[in-house]
Amino acid sequence: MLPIVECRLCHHHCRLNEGERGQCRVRINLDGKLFSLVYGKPCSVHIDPIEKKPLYHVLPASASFSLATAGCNLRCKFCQNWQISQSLPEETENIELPPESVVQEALKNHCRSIAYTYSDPVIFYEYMLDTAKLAKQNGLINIFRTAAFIEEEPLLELCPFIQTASVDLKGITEEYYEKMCAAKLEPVLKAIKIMHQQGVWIELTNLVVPTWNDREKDIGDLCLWIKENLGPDVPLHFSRFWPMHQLKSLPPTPEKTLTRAREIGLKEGLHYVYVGNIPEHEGNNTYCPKDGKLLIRRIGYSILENNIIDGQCKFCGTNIPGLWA
Amino acid sequence: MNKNNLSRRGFLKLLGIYLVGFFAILWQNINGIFSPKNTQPSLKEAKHYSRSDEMAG
Repeated sequence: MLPIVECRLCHHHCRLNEGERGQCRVRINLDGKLFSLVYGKPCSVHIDPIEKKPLYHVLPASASFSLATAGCNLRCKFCQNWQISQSLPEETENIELPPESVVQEALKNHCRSIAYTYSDPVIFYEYMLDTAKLAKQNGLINIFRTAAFIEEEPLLELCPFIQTASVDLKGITEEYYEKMCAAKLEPVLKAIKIMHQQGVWIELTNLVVPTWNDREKDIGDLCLWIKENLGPDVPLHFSRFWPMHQLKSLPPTPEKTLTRAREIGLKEGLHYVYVGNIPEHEGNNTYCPKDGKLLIRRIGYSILENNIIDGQCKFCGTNIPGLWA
Repeated sequence: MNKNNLSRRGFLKLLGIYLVGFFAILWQNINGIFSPKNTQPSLKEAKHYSRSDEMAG
């Protein structure tokens, strides 16, 4: 009898009989070995502004070579990219793009970073890791855009090669993670702390979904956890929900809810709290936590003004954390 | 009676248009624009897994 294989990449720990795939749909047991079905086979490749990740404290106004494969280890009801994340690799149109070609294309297109994004890059771990190693050798920054539902061992192996992570902290209760994403909260919090301890620059995004995670208490608890475990300098983006996938019946997040969430974050003591998916909201801008002056003015993904010089506020010299050059 | 026969000149004109179209499609095929997308998954041995015959207990 051929051995059962247990995948230890994420916290699902899928146990697979011969020919079975994990919950991610892209890892398969063949002859007692686990294989990735998506290595070097992205289904989405784009050049995005880095602000789209969203990363507001990393190389502003630069281009990021962004890619994803099919599949995901989560089942978020609100997924914005469900067409690829909830598909088999046989159902998407894939291209051949080995790690060397990803780096070459990124350099050729004047990108300063490579973003592993759209679906969750945890599921194309081997492809991401090999590409990240090459990218780092070539002076590119690696962006891990993830829900951070990943085991400690693979994460620690990855950390030396990724400089920045844009992490979806989807909620702050186990119930929310279980019902909304078919995942667990605790491993996500642990992974975020590990990345922070390993020196990876982190920005967090919380998608505020009406009636699901928009209570002031939940938002306050989320901000408090960030402050106590990561410190006040980790940027937090409250992002507007748009009706998608299995939540088409819900309305978009009202602007006042996001404004209130930002107020709660600032009141809790976080220095950089942003509002996303509302292009002209003042919460798109970066302000100096010391003198309150406007540092970076943004409309959508465009930068209209930048008053950060060598990582410092132009007006009072306060250090603004991030990767600025 | 008005017959709508194709003249030699008209025929050559049409042939020219067809040939231009034919070579345009051929050229685009060479560039992979019309070629079928590669949807076959790859196979790369994964990291971070264990087999039942290697597990303790």
